Amino acid sequence: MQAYVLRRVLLMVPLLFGVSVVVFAMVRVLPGDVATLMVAGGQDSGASGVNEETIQAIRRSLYLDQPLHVQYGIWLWQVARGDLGTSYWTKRPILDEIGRALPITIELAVLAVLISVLVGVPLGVVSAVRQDTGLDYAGRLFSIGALSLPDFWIGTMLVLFPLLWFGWIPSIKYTPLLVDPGANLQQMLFPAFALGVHNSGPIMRITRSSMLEVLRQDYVRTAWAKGLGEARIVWGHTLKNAAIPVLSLIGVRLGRLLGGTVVMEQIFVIPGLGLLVLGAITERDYPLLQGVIVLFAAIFLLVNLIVDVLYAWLDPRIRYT
Amino acid sequence: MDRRARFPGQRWAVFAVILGLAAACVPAAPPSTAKPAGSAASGQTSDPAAAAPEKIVRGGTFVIGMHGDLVNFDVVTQTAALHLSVMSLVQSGLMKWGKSTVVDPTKLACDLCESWTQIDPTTYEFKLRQGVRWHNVPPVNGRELVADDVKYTLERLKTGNFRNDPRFGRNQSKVASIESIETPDKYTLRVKLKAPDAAFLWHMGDPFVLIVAREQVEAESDGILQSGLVGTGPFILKEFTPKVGYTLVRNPDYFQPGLPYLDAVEVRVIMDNTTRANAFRAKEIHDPGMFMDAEKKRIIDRSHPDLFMGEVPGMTTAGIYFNTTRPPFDDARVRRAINLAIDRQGIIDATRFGHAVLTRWLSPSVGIYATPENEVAKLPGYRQPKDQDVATARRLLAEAGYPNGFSTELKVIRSANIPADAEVIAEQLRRNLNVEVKLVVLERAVHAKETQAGNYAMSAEYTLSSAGDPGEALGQIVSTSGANTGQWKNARYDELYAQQQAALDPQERARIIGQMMDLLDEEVPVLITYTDNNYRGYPKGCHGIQQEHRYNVLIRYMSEVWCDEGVLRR
Repeated sequence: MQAYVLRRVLLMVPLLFGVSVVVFAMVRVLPGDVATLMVAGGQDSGASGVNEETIQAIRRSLYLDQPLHVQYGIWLWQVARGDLGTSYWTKRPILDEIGRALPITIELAVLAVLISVLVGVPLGVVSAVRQDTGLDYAGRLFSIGALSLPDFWIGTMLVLFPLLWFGWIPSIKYTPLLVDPGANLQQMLFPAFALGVHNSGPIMRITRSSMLEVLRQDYVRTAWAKGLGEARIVWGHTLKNAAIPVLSLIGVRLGRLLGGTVVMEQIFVIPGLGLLVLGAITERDYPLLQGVIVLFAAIFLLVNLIVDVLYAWLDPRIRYT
Repeated sequence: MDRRARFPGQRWAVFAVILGLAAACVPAAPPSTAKPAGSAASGQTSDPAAAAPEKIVRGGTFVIGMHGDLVNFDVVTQTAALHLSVMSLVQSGLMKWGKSTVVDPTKLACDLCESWTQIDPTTYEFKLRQGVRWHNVPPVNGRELVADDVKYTLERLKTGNFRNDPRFGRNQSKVASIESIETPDKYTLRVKLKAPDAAFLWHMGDPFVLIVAREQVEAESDGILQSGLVGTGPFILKEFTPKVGYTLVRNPDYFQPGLPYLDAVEVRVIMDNTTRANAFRAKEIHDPGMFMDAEKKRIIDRSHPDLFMGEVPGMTTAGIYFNTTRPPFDDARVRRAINLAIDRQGIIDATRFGHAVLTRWLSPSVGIYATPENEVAKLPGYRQPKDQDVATARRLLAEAGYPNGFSTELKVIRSANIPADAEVIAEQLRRNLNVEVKLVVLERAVHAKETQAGNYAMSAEYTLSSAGDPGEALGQIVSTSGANTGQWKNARYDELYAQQQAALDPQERARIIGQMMDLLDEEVPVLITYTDNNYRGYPKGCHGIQQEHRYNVLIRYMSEVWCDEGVLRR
């Protein structure tokens, strides 16, 4: 197992290198120009003395006048030394920017996945065990509803209805978890709920179908024949074996959520990675954008590795060599 | 008892239960608290903040929503209005603009100065207040502000040590006319100009011309104020978290005795306009910040009798730039025809719900220098009905060799209302002149690059004069201006521009500017559709908040703001 994990970790290096090349190239082919944008200013900036000389000075100072392979080399050399560079706009180190946003996004993603699992898995199990009953139909109806309603719509409704009914909205003042967990959760629970409900739909469906498959296995029939209780059969013998596809899906969903949830972060004013990326795209902050996307890729690879390792824990028949 | 008071504490948990129950019986329409049109709430047009106070209530924390985050704290690199939400409260200027919704040089007032004198057409002498102290925090530790501080700031703004930041000089034009500065003593500043400059004093009161502490600049590794901010203003920057917010607390040593009234101001970064408006409606914040609009005002007026949203004509004009180096827009007759064929009032009604102002190149907010709206409404191109203007436009187009119209492209910035305006304009041109306009909507970064490179036939965008002085807006289309992307060159215009810039008598300056407006209506290098209104919202129980022609330019008067009991968190 250790050798397998080590091999997977080593494989990440060329993968991330490939990702960095693709990301660098894609970011640079985005139309628009950061230097012109800096000189032109924002919508509320007013007119400035735009001139080509200043634009060229900016390009020089940001190495944008260099050939692309040279720019890539400069960036890669920085990354290899553990430095993602500084933001074109704020001049703050990108590692600081990411370091500030990443824990927030991780918290939101973990909360959302927790909610989706707590809702989706029990519903899927009950739906499978009580197949073709009212409970099953209700569970399936819920899952289709959760799948159909986009998370941002659920989030918007969570803001809009209390505003219309009570003149109140969920907290939009960010407080770090370690500073005041209560205040932090007051803000985080609502977006986590919206994301969780949406993600619980597919989790419920895959749990149900996987459970149905396992429930028809011979060993489950044997368990029934032995006179074991329903709870022990369902939760002890069936669910664990049905969990592998569920776990795969949770891994994929968690990876996606860690990649940032731009709209949800906008609605609930959460300063996570999603807003960081959005700002980097609109302002053409190339180093920030590159840094965050490469980080997304690394997170995704890491989550996949963890999920693969968990397979072996769940099913002792799976062995990695 | 207000609604919030009835829904305190663990209301989020209660809400979760209620929402679950309510999900099964969601009403077709939520209960409305709307008042009928014409009620006291919806009909209020007077600014409640201007009402005479009976008894000032001190204390409380006022919360401002901000549409983005500060890039840094330095006036040498910034002209974006949101920065003033923090900088204008922490720092002071030599002078300040008066409380007026239009540019009014007669209301210029001293901030750090006690008085000023114009010794001759190019020399000004300022006497500074004595005993003004910097905030009692490192690195200035409450030392006295002296004339050298002001001299250092103005010289730094003009030529200072910030060359390692490529965005240097965003406010350079405001001090460009200064030749030299002397400080005969600790409290006297003598400024010599290169030539008479009608806008000099106005620029000294500009909200971005803020006095910085040399010690703080020198403590920064690259000479740009980034890690914090000290000043002599009414509030001290206590703490901040990038992308989250800023906490400012009362400066007990502020040079204006008794001010500020508030204990603290919290500035929160809330990027989404709708979220900010919702937070304002829920009283999570007391000022919804920039980019409010007529629709949000309508909701506030109708459903929130305890909130106010004022609107005044702003500094932002919507318009279409013509590339005058390319056919067909290298022919002034074509540009004039387009100008005459556009139905501006139709655009205002269709896309701004009637909440915008007919305007020429200068918005009404430049005061005496702008043509009054009722006079603008009588001018060809602006007037109603359109029949006569459309007939003239067709004739001009035929004379220019386009009797059957032509096809062209309009590059549109994806910003606020501009794409919607462009659609209406395209339809009007097709209907009135048989001109087929292909709309190309581009995001800001792409649009800026395309227009800067002159790669367009027509470009729809906002124009904004950041300083308010008419010279800045007028200067955008002089032959040598980098902002003149349409490459329109007119010697007469350049000459008039120089004349008005040197005219120290406001009436004489207004007369010259009037000639420039006539010339622009004749030549039409840019077609102005309207001036957008500027909105500022706050609870009706708060007093002293200023409506302003450009967002945040009067936020320095926050020191005089106070709110009735129960409005703010105390």
